[in-house]
Amino acid sequence: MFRNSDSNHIDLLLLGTVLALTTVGFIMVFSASAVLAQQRYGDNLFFFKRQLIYGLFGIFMMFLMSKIDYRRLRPLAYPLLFASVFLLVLVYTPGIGFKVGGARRWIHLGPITFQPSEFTKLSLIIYMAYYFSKKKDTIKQFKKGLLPVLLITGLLIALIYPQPDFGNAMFLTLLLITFLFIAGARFIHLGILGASALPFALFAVFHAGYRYRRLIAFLDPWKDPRSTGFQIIQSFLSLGSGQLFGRGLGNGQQKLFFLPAPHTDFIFSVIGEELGFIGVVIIILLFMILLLRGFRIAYLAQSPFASYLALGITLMIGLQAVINLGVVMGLLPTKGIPLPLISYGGSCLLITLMGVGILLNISKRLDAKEELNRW
Amino acid sequence: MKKVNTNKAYQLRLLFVFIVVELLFVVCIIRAFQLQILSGSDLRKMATRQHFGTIRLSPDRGIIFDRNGNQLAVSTMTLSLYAHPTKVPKKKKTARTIAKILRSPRQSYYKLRRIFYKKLRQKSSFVWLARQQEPRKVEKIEKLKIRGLGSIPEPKRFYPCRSLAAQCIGYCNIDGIGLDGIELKYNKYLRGKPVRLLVARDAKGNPIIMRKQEAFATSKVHHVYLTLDETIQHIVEEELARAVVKHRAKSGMAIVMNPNTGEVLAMANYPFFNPNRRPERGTSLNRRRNRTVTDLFEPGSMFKPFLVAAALESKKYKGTETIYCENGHFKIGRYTIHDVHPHKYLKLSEVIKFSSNIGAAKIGTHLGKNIVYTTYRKFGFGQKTGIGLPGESPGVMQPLKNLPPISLATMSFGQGIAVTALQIVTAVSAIANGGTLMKPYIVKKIVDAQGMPLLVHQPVRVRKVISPQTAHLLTSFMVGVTSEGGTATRAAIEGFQVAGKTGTSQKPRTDGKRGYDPTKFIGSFVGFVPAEDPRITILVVIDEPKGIPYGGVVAAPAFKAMATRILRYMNVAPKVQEIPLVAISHPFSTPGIVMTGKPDKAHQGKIVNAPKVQKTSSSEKILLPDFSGMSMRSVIRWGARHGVNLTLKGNGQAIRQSPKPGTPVSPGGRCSVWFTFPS
Repeated sequence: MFRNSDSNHIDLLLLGTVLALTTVGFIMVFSASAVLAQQRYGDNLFFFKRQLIYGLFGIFMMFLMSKIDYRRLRPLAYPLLFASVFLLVLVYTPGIGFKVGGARRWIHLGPITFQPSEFTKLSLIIYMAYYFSKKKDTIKQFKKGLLPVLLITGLLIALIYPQPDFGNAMFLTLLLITFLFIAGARFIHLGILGASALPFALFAVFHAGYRYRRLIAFLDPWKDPRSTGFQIIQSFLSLGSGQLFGRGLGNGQQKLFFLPAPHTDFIFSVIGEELGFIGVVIIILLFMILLLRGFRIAYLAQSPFASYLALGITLMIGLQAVINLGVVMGLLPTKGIPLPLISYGGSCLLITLMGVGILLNISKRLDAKEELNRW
Repeated sequence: MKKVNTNKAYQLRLLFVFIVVELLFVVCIIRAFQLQILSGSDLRKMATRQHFGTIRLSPDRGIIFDRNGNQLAVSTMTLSLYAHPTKVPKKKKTARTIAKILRSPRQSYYKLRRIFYKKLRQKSSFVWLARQQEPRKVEKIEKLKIRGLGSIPEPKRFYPCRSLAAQCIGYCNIDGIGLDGIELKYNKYLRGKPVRLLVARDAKGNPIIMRKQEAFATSKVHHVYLTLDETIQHIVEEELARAVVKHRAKSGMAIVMNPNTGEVLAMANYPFFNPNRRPERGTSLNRRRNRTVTDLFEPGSMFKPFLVAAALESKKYKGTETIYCENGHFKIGRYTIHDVHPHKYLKLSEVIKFSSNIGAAKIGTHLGKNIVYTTYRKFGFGQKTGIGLPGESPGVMQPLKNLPPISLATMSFGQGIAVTALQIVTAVSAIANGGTLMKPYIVKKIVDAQGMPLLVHQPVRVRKVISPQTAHLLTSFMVGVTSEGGTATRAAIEGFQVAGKTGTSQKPRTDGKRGYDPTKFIGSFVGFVPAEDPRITILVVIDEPKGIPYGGVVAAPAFKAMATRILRYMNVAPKVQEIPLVAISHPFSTPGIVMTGKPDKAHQGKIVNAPKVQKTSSSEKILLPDFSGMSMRSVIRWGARHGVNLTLKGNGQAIRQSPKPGTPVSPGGRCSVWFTFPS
């Protein structure tokens, strides 16, 4: 069988899209955070500078990863998994892990801080790619195929959930279900899995009062605009104020203390207000192109491992983006999920760009015979 | 084969997930379209309302100075106490505690406790408990660390001279926005950048969340220098009050103008009001209005000089004519005009001196309505002077068309015409300065925060009204008024020639019937001094005096008292003899030290090189005034003026003094004053 050699070029459209999104991220982080940073730190470039440093480092890492043969990652699947479990445990270790805004999600590594849950996403994807490519049809059996990956993912979720990081726990669950579906797990298994997960989800929602209130607020934000519906209403006002052309870059009003987390989870509201519907559509189209190229790489990849790996990384970006957009636009209950490549957050940006690097590396060795190559 | 099938199925599932996720993005685009395009304008409106749904704090405000740099209106720092009522525990006890600390003579403990308790029981999440309080008291409350209470620094307008020129300066509301006077007219200069508290509002407009927004930009206030002179204003207000009280009148007003430039040196309305106090509910705004520019009255005989000016300018009279004054009764149609004292023949000058209505009516009728009208208008009547104070009235003149003869006759002696006090002073100043109508002004300059002038007002000539010869002749006629036999001998000042004219007019009935109220009069006097080289024009109007209402009786003595003291303050030397020393009775009233020296225009209104000082006899004691709130500059000036040795401590505004206010102190005595910057 003819296989394409290393001489193939990396996916330039994918690279361009990612760089474009990252650049938009730099600009919007500055616009959204300048006033906040001035108030909080007396330096309106505070967040921007950090995002720029992480971003540039991330782009460097992306090129580095695109040079390293992705097949070398295969033997690293378990070591990376153990590393992330170790890091997640460190979060709970006094002196190393620390809290921001009531959540224990970060660890100190000398002068820099790091969010292990972001690292966990990538290592879980590498593990799942390794696992599903190895199991093949065995996945249809519950004990041999399904149980191990369920346990591993379950362990990671159990470590992330109490940070609390409900958003990322949900995201990992969603990632697992999607992987199982694509890997060809039986629908009956998926059904049982879903049914048994429901009580956990319900418990999670009702256990923490704010989650229940957020859920209610999502269903009818105007019912209680004072507290629970506040965030989502502010986001609506922000997006709506943008109308077609936006107020203009830097002219947003809502980011001035009305929007919660204007530079992180709700950065898309600022984009909507400042760049208008046109800007919103352009950003969404960029994500759709990214998704298209990612799935194309997964489709054309030479090996199942490469395909699963490409799929996992594409889903990591695509699902997070669509969840974030859904939250910002009031289609989903409020969750703490950033918009990949754009929201402020060093660990997330770095990991995402490294994932894209792996994706680019896979794109070098695609199955040329497939007619889909013309995409 | 099976492998291929698996592969195919895998690829199909891949494609399926891809399409699902892409469709979710499409849903997001549709949602964005719905939010941004379909409901965009509604949401933007809502957002805008939210942004303007902020609680405004009083901004910093520029200082209003008098011409010599004395502070008339300043901004002091206060603390405003607020609460998040839902968070405050033990509301009854808290209300009691706060009321105990914040109570004052004007607001009793019980009243405050009731107010606070009511406010703390509100369901809202933000409420002002007490705004613009003394920092010391609020800090005391802060120290108690009661949950749900907080304070924000907020500037408050403070008028160190209290009621001085209050109607002219105007006042502000609690949000620091000028509502009247200079504060209103020059609000955009005085007003700093408004500071806001961010308050998100729900659909009903109730504040729901609050965050403090820092003022990013440095406040850009401007300071306003007035042409008023604190000392002259003080003299005028004191004498005006004395006259109104003495004649048990309803009210009074007075203006002092520099006739050569049009600068207003003093502008007083009695009764006074203290702008530092919040107006009590139900009190009319009459006290707060600057009636010298807003209110109209019939000038009466004060108008005769303008008529004679018309006569002289028209060349129909040379000034030497005599007019038959009909022995006090003169019929025009079915009306009869009377004179107070019957005269047979009067010279033109005597028509003014004795204030003959019949004489005036005859001159007016002879001149014809066109000449009379044109001259009046040239003097500025019927038009706003353009002084730049809010609410200025142009006055009322009857329409020229179909004017009945009787109206022309009465208009000649100032009846059936309505003017403002400012118009009279301005017009008489035109006679005083040799015939040029000057545009009156009250703002000398506006400077920015660094003291750089942004706007400097220069004297503006409006028009030449009469020739210098006419002005000169008219002045000599008006000197007759204060001379032996004139209607205002009580306005005469020893050592000076005073030119002036009395006025006594009736007020229109207020009971709905036509004509004049037989019991209500306005007595007035306008004059300038020294007649040969006028330095000041003064108008005194006494409204509804009891007893004899004549201007020569009620207003002329006040004019004399004001002019005497102002001339001495301005170092205008009498021509004939030295100024007699005057006993001191009241703080600020009469200087304990008399400045003598050559009158010098450059030094007008300020003491540059301390002139030779003459002490009054040591038995004369001065009562110490209450310095609190005064600037150091004002205190030093007072000390210099009264020869009291001052010990000054600290900086800023006076807060304490020793001995206490009201203590008699002889010139050469001592007084210590402590200063501090507010908060």
